[in-house]
Amino acid sequence: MVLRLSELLRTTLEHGAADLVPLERDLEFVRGYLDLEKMRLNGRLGLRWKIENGTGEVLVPQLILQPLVENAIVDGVSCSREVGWVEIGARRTGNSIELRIGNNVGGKSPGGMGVGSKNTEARLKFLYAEEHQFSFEVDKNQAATAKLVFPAM
Amino acid sequence: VILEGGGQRLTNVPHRIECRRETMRVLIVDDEPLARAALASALAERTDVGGVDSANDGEEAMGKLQKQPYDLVLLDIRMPELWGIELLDQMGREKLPAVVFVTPHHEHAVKAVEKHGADYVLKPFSNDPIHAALDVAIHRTIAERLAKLTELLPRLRSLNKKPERIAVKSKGRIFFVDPSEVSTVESEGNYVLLRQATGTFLLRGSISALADKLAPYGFVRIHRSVLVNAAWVEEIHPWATGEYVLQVKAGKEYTVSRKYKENLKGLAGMWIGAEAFSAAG
Repeated sequence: MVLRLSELLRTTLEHGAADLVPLERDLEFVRGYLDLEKMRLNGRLGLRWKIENGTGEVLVPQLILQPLVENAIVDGVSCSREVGWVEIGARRTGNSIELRIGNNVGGKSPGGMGVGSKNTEARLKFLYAEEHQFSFEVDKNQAATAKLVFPAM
Repeated sequence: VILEGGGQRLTNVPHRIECRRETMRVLIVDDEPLARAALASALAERTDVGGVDSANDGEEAMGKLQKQPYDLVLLDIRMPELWGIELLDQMGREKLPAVVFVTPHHEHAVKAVEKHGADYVLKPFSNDPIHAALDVAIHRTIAERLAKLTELLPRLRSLNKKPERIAVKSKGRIFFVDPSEVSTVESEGNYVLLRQATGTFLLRGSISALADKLAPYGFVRIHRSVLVNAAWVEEIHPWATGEYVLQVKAGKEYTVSRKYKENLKGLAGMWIGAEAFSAAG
């Protein structure tokens, strides 16, 4: 566990100031983070990966996924007594890339846009000005989805 | 005889310097008051030192050196600032006093200075080395000093050179990039990507403006939308179609468009066994 944690820390240090990294690298980081969460949640976390082929090389803002995944876990899995799930998806749509982070909503009503989400919005706006979308919704089946769309480079 | 008080010019260079009777005028150039005081007190112990002045920076030192001659300059070659070395460089050769470098504990500086036999004193000071260095410096001939300094200057200069970096203003902030770490610069729509092994910077603007600015750093334009850092190119693959594909270290492959084929010459200083290519137009 300590090893995992140290890997995560190292990644955040190594990336430094750069804006963008290949999606594959950000996913690696998220996988490391999720390994830790799995240990913490003791098997109550189910993961679904829907990463379209060929999206791994697309550049995304570095560490863009982790706060959203963390949100998904905090709002969803951890406040539920059941087994929760988190779904992470990426696909190309025209010249853009779409990232989705979904989760089942736990006991309480969804918090909506937390501080983390506001940061995400601000980062996307900073990097891509108006050429981005960021949305958050909860459907009838109590599944919440954060969706990010921005130019695929 | 070394520059007796009056400021006689040392035009006939290979003079032995003998200071048995005459006392020396010494200029301390250092921006730290404590360092100046320490050096001055060491100098005060010497019978061969007649006068000590000090200067806080290069400009002040230059002014003093122009006004009157000194026999010896104790010069701080502080690392981040060049002025110590600039000062030496600007000093007229015929007025060249003996110079003892005063260096902080900076391994590289010390090594270079040691290697080339310049006289130096390490900070923080202890008196014995100061006196030893002064003794040697004073008894060097002008010719020896000149030869030593001429050899030393470019090395010190390169030693002092900070890793080259470029400042980039983008989206309301300014960040710094070491151009040697940038593998390629690519334009993507309204954006320009500065790719590094550790990540990519995203800028707004056109690649053409950058192409000229980055050319001195070894960036070669190979496509309307791509500049490559020559140092990062690992291989060139000629295609049967007459196009070329560049393989960039730890990265992607880039096609060289016909229009920029000529620029490939800039990737190397010499071509062996590729005459046809290097002559390609």
